[in-house]
Amino acid sequence: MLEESQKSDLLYRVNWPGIIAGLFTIALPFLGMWWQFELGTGAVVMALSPFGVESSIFGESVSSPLFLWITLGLKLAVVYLGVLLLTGSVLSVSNSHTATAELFVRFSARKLSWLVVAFVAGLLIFIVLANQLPEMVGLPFQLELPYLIGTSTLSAGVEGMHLTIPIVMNFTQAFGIAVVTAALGIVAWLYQKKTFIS
Amino acid sequence: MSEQAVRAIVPIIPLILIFGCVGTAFATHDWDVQATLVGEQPFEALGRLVPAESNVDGEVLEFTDFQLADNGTKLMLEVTLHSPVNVPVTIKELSTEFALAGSTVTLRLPQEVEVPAQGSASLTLAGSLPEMQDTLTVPPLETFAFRGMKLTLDVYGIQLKLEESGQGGAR
Repeated sequence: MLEESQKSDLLYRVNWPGIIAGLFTIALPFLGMWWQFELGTGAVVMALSPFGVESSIFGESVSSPLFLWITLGLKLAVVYLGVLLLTGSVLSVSNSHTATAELFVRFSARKLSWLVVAFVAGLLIFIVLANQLPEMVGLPFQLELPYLIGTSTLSAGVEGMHLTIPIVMNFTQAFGIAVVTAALGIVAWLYQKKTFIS
Repeated sequence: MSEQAVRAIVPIIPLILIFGCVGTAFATHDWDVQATLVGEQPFEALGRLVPAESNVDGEVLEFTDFQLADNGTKLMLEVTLHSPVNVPVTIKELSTEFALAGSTVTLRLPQEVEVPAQGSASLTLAGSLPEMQDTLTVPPLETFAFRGMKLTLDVYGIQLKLEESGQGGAR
């Protein structure tokens, strides 16, 4: 009876949302880009995530070495957070390592949600600025980029010449997984708080 | 390892990873800020679209021939387009008109034509001659003065419409 109670207590002490969130966090950098932007049908393509940038102009790949290295750093950092979250969630069962487990989960659980929010906020700021740009510098056209998702058409013309460029933006499935993982991270953080404070 | 050491190390590691990567980016590009930031200039990628040494020696648009069809009620104009750019281009619309014996003849491209990257494509513009012109002798091609040319190009979904206005006719 006592053994069963101990077993159920151990199961209760394991931070299950943390384990799932940790595994997803480790996998996330390898699931692909979060957001895609396309001018025309492949004229300019930009796929972004905090873990990588893929861009091409008329099929010619364009990249910034600094961006590539920063995204590699973020990739490694997020894998590290995932490992911490996973370790902390499992380590919670050990009485002697409760403080370390608490530290690991507290440090890692909410970071991904910050990253998701920062990514979306960064994109929004970029789009707002891009939409204001033609007016600010006096260009002869109006830019109406959709806000994060959607399609629009950029039209510009001078006498005898008219340019029409379709614009498409959308989030990918990987972004959906990132949002779910970030939410799970918050749940793991709350679970840890509730379980070890009570 | 003491708990205090773990507490100190855990938050530092992500910073080391990120800043380490930033440092490596600069180190692998000889600490050249521009090379690290921009790498290959986007303009260079754009420049490859229009190569410096084009294989087109003459004009982009070359009028090659014209002929009368359907018992002289239709005029067919043969044009060869030499693409100077390194991307495939689709001609969605091409039309032009000229004056012939007091009437305006409009020539149109009956269907879209794809021009390969730096390649050539033969276009046939067709237009109906006015009915009263069945006995007309069409003057040589060089004497035509085309006007009102309309051209719609599609490059990777980007549409460029060019419209020319002006007077013209068969001299």
